[in-house]
Formats: sequence, structure tokens, C-alpha cells
Amino acid sequence: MPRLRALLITLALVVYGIAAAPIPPSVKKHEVFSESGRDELRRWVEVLHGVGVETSVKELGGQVLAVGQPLTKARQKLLSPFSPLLRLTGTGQRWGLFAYPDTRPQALVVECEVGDRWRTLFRAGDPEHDWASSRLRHRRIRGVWDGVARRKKPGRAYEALVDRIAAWVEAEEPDCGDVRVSFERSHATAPGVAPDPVRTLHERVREAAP
Amino acid sequence: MNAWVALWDRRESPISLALVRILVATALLVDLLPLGPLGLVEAVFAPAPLGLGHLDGRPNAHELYGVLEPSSATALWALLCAALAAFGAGLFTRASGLVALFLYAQLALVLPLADRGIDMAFRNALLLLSLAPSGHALGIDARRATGSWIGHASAPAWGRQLMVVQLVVIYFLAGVQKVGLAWWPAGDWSALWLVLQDPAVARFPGGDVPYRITQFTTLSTVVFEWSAGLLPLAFLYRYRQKALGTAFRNVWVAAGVALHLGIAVTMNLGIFPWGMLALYPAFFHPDELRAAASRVRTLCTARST
Repeated sequence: MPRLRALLITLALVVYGIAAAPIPPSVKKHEVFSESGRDELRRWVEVLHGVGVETSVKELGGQVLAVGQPLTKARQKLLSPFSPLLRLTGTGQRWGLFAYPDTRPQALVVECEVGDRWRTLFRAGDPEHDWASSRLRHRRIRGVWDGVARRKKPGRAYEALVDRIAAWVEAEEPDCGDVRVSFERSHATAPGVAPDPVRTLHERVREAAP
Repeated sequence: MNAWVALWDRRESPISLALVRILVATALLVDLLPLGPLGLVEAVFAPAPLGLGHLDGRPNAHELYGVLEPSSATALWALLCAALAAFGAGLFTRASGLVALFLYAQLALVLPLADRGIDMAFRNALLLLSLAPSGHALGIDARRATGSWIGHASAPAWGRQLMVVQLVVIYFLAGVQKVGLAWWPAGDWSALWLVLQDPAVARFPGGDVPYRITQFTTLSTVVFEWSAGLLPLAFLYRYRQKALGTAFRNVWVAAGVALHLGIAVTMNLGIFPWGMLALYPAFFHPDELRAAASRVRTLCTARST
């Protein structure tokens, strides 16, 4: 029994050890060359230039893809015999907390039309506009909007969230008409560095029921 | 080979592991139960058209929703909460833990965007706690088997040892993967300053935390996470009765508690900081927990007399 236990533990350590290899779960071109990704690449290009290695954002990003994608695939292949078990238990080993701090953070904004003007109900991080904040800032709902904000196309979960928000507004704010949901993308910089202007992204309008 | 077998065949009181079991179940219930009053259960756990998640286009996407209607989401959530409550109470511990794990994993598949790192850490812990004898102490199963809430005097220690390995992996890999330049001198240690500007996660975005303090905490975070790689050595020293190992472990754990309390105060990351702290009793040998409890009792008695 002790030997069998040690054997099973060894097997578990090997499988989860492969899963723990410090490789991103996926390396996608749109992520590497996103605004935040380009900021990061630009800083690396400067650092490498300082030690005599000449490269460009495009070249370095290409190298990240060329190295990262095969590594990601290799790990997937190694884990494939165990993937049904990992999937059924929802277990794994991906632990990259704020690996790249986002220099282009986005704030979800919810507005509704009152008369002929838009009234802000919620803006992430704005205590003066915190309508439904216990729902919109709940970590599971935040995961939906914070996770999609930096994509080119935010996807169906975002569209469904906008529908859901519009339904909440309709039920709870009788003065409101149409509902507008969008992201405000700011530019986080170190002190003394001028940020780029705030931009609005992924704007969606849901018309009020007649 | 023999040493490796002996390492996983050690025995100790299951109290540390049982404490982790209770704290993990409590943290999960604190996270899951409010979804009901907030009206978010279906949004998060039901596939479209009721919820925000989509299962179509993925072959064999879901075992449960392959046979159940999306409207079952509320019942599945209630069943998950009940299983977690039973697991925390140490009632049919292994079965309730595995049921909770299966439901948690299934519900996470519905909307992967809503499933964060702490959820995976909890599922890893649930699997480990269900397979290891975490129900042999501080629970109903233990009471029924031994007549005492304290439960069995001795049980295999591999569960706690693997939990420590898991914690080391989480922290060390979080450190290793901090390749963003903002975590390093070339990025002026600006990582936490940038994170605290993010309105999605910062509790007070644009607040007046001095830049120097965020630089210091950035450096401290990196040092703390990388130094997790030294914890196995510290435990090895501890087993050999060396005070240095215990001292290093104590300082490291104190730094971890400070880090997570700092996160809880400055960031809006839900149960993440509390969930991680729920795993910390695994760092302590049951004899240490007993000694600490005894010291507290003595202190309380002295104050009351």
C-alpha cells in the first residue's frame, strides 16, 4: 500500500508538474499585438537595445509567437491522455497573477436615456456612479466584462451581459429609456508620463421596450 | 526509493488538513451563497438563453447540461452549496467533497470567463482534501467514528504535504511568470502602481497611494513569490529539527498574510485573498496548531482569573 500510494502521488506530481510549466495557456496573435501587448513589447525592445540587441516590436512579437505557440501545443499534447480527468475535476495549474499589468485598463460604463440625454448609472471604479455595483463588480460578472474588454470582438458573453443589464435597468429604473453599455479605455502610466486620451470601445445600445 | 515511499507514508494528526477543509468550504459558501440574493445564479451557471454562457459548438461540452435543461442551474447551485456545507461539516466527507468538486467543475464550464485562478485552486484543494483523510478530524464523520470532535489521533500526512507543494507551486509560478517589465527594475517597479489604476480591480482607482510605496510592495511581492521556491528546503530543515527552517517558514507565512490582507484592502478580487489564506493551516504541523491553541487557552484562563 505505501508503495502504491507513493507511485500514484508520483504520477500526480508528474501530470500536474507538466500542467504547471510556466507557459501561457494560449499565445494568440491578437493578444501579443494588443495595445497593452505592444506597450510591453516596446519596453522590452528598449531594454534589449540597452544591452546591444537590436529588434523591433514586430520582430519580437513574432518571436514570442514562434516560441510560445509550439510550447503551448507541446504541453497540450503531453497532457492529452489526462485531459478528460483534468476537465472532469476542473483542476490544473495556471498561476499567472498580473503577469503583465494592464497598461490599457477598461472600465465598464452603463448609461440610460432619460428624456433627451444620457445618464450614467454605473462606471467601474467611480463611487458616484455605482448602480447595481454589487452585481456588476461581483468577481464572476467582472470576469465577463474585464475578460472581453481587450478583445477586438467582445463575443457572445458580452452581448448577453448587455441584454441582461438592459433588463435590469428596465426592471429597476422606470424613468429610463434606451440603455447604452460601453468601455472607457484609459492609459495607465508611471507618474509624470502623460497618458493617452480615454477612448470608448464596444458601445452597444439596447432600445427600450415600446 | 525507500526514502520517497517513507516521505509519503508519514503519519500525523489530521487536524491541520481538517482545518483547511472547513475554511475552504466556508470561503466557497461565502462566495457562492450571495449569488442567490443577487439574482446571478442563472446568469453565471446556466447556458444560453437563460445565462451568459454558451455551450454550443463545443463537442461533449457538458455532461450535466447534456441531459438537464438550463433551468436546472438553480438546483445545481443549491446542490453544490449543500455538498459544500456537508463537506465543511465533515459529513460523508469524501463523497460530499467529490460531489461538490464535480458540480463546481461542471458549472465552471458554462462560463469560463467567470472562472478565475482561485476557483482552480479551490478545485485542486477539494480534490486533495476529498482523497486525503481530511474528514478524520473536526467533523461529524470523525465524531461518529471516535466519539470525539477531535477525531483520530493519527492519519496519513501526505494530504497536508501535497497541499504545501501546491501552495509552493502557486506562489513560485506566480513569481516566475511575472515577466512583465513593470515587475522589474527596467520597468521602475511600477507594476502595482499600474494595477491600482485599473478600475476593474482596484478598490480606489486613481487613489493617492504614494508611488514609492507601490514600488516597495512590487519588489516585496516578487521577492515573496520567488522565495516560495525555498519553502521545501525550510520544511526539510524543520523535519531535521532545525530552528532556521521554522523561522523562515514563519516569516514567509507572515509575509503571505500581509500580502493577502493588503490585496483585500486595496483590490476588489472577491474571495481570492481569503481563499488563499484558507489554505494556510496546511503550513503548520498539527502539533504546532495544538501548541498554539493551548497557549491561547492558557492566556484566556489567566485573563479570566
